[in-house]
Amino acid sequence: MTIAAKLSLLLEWSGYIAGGFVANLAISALAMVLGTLVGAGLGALRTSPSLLAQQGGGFATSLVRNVPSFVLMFYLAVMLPQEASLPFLGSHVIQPWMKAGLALAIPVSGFVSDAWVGARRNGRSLFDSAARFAWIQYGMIVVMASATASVIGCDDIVARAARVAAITDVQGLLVWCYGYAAAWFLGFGLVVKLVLASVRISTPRHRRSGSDKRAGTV
Amino acid sequence: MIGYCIKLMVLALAVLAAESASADTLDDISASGTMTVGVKVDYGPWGHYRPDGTIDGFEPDLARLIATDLGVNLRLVPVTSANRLARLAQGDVDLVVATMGDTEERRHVARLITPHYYASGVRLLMPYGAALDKWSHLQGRSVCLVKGAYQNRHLIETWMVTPVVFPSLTDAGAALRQGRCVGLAYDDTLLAQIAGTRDWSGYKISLPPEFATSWAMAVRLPDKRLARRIEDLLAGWHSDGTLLDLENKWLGDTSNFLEDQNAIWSQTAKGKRICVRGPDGDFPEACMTSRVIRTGQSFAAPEWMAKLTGATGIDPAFLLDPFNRGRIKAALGNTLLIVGLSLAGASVIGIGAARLISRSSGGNRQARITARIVGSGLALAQLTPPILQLYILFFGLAAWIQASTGYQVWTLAIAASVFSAYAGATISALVVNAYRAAPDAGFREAIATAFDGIVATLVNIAKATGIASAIAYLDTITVAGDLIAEGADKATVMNLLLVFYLVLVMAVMGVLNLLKARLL
Repeated sequence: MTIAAKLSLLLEWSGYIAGGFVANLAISALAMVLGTLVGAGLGALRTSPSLLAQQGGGFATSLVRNVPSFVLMFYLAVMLPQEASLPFLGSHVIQPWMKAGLALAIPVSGFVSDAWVGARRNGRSLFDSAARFAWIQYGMIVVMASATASVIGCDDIVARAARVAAITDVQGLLVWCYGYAAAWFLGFGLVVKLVLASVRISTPRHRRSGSDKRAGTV
Repeated sequence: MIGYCIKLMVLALAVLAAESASADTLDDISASGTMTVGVKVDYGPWGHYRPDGTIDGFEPDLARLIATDLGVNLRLVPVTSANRLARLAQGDVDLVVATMGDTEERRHVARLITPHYYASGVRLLMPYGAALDKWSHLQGRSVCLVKGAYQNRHLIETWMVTPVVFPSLTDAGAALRQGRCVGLAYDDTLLAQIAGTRDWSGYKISLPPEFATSWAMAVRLPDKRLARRIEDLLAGWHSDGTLLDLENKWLGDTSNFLEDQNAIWSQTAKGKRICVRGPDGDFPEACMTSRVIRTGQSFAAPEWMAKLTGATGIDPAFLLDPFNRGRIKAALGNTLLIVGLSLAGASVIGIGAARLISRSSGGNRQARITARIVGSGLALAQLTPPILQLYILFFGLAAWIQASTGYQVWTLAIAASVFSAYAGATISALVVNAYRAAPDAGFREAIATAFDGIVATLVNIAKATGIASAIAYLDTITVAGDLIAEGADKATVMNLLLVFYLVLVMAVMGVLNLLKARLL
């Protein structure tokens, strides 16, 4: 099959593959919201007057900071039940994407806890532009990490890319499908970078927070 | 203990009051009006996607017949060899009909339903012209396998093949095409379908069938009522020829196995069927002719281990098996190796690129262009998820290098390069920022200023190296998955895995802080 024919085939399946990227964004959103709430709680414990709360918050933060999210994803996929009952909300099915979001929320909570403590110690606002910048940047890393969710059965963009290769059964198309999925992440990352750059330009006196130095993987 | 704490914490943080799977799935299915069945989607004609995205095939047809009998709707969910029993145990699916061989080990983790609905053996898909006539010729040779398949252990133990294990048949097939292995060992009925397609015209199925086994559907261990209902259906389908008709529909022929089963289950005496449930509720033994195999050996647990399991729930019985101990040891070594290489590579790339970029500002045009190219490359590495980088390099660049030069790029080298570049990009940015903030202090001081960020980045990449299991790197995550698939206690295996990674991360942090004290 020619390169043009392969590209045409990918274009034909674009809608289906893009639908998978929505799952990646949903996983990331769940991780960021949940991780931020828990991280803020841990940060508040670490900066509270109680020594016991400080130690407890510090221990929990070091734990969530050091757990590998990829391993945790497997862990939760195997160990969490399919259904859970939520207070006042009744019984709900825990889908694989939720388990992935939960696993990725753990490092997010460590990041937010550290950011909280850093802001308090430096007398900065918890919601200033530096904090928002670091949070968005970390969110982008979480979106990149959400690509691993396919290994626990999430119907994300990576899983759909592989599925298109299996359905079409065209020799050599697999790598094109993965490349196409990577292009979605690349495009998304560039858009976020542009947004962040505009934020920085509009706030020239801003200094990067210490916590965004943790950029990398989750 | 730590893993247990984390599990508790996660559950508490998520405000989840976990419920174990319902005691009776048959009642749940009737109440909800829907049965969820796990089937394969990349194994036509047993289970595959149609061009419109719906799932079809021999096994989805069986699932439809069961749902129709129960009077409920059917929801088909894709599963793989590696995750089918895990998804059943998690409650993601009510029933698995996914080309699964019946083994004694699997009977410890799920209720496998008999009579069996199909049977197959293991053969080798390989290129025409390859001089492999006997299984013994595979000794020490790389053979592509699919993760979670029952025959893997047998091939490694008996024929001493070097396993190259992939998460899916699609990936394993792509690896065979690029010459990663001499052949793909898998279920002969599935290989026959693959070899019959145009894209595989240069390949043939070879070697005599090995390790014959029968295929079984599976439900969760407590689901006796659902299993019994399906047992009756299967007995009826063997007797009235439904399975033969389905085989003819999807494969265009009938097999000896199903013909024999039809002959057995349709026998009559004085006008009455012989193969019906007796007073004890079981089918006559004479009718249950297909076999259950054992993929490993069983070892009696010593008294202390039995007490430990009784008191704590921790069940390390899988460690009694020397084969398991051997592969765990190898996986630990492989994990440490890739972590070490990735840390070293990320440091070299990160600091090297930072030096190049830092110096370029006062350098000539060529230096600035070089720095810009390096910076763009690192930005690309940073904005592409590592798992996709692994796939693209493995199935793209490495395949192209092999086709052009005959040289096979090591999986370890691919994985270490990806992790090094990904973390190196972040390290480079940290050091460049520190240098630009205080250029007069010098490059060494910039590294010292950025050191905490560098440590965090290196720790993060050490945590992420498990992703290499996606391209057949035999690390601890791969082996943990295999052990669980073979019946090892999942809680024990997963907690040990988590504790191992926590200790590894702590050790990496310790070593890096020691380096900081010595060097800076």
